[in-house]
Amino acid sequence: MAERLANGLKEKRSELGLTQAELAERVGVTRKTINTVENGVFTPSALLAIKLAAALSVPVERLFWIER
Amino acid sequence: MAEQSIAQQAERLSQKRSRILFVLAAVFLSQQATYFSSRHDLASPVGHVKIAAWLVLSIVLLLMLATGGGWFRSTEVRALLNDETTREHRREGFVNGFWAACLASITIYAVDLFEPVSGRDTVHIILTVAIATALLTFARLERRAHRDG
Repeated sequence: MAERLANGLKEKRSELGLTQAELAERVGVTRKTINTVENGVFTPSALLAIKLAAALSVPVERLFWIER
Repeated sequence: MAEQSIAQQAERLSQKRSRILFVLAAVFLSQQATYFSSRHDLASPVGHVKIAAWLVLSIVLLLMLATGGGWFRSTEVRALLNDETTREHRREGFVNGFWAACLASITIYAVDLFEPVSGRDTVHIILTVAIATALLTFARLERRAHRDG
């Protein structure tokens, strides 16, 4: 069965009251990248995943997980 | 007007780029109609201009695909314009362009068995198909990424 990298980026970002643009600025990407990661359209690199987790102050494994 | 931040500039330019790429692809493809409708006159000075125009536009589009554009912007804006998703979209564009070029080559090879196709026309068709496919793929993915908010 296919595996995919799911994430709780949108929930965590909303919890902290951040917009996509604000989070994008914190990690040095465009809003479009945050948008595609949140929608599951784009799987981020390990580098970006760690940056996102750091920006939202959560361990990376709580922000991203493998869905089967 | 308030000065825009680097992120805002990159966002605006990125959206503009996805729209411009569609227009450029349309111009590029419509240029081919003129080329093939008058390709018997290509030895004339007007013909040379047509070939030169196609070649120049092809090179500009290839450079745009290879670099992501934003050539006259600051390093910071260019870095944002060329972030992870953009690089992935360009990579998908190149992959589709490669397969389109292969299919065009196979088609021309088959057609040439019945109707000779000149070397110049062959290069023209393959390059046009490859660039247009890569460009349209890149533009479509960029548009989609901006839209689904």
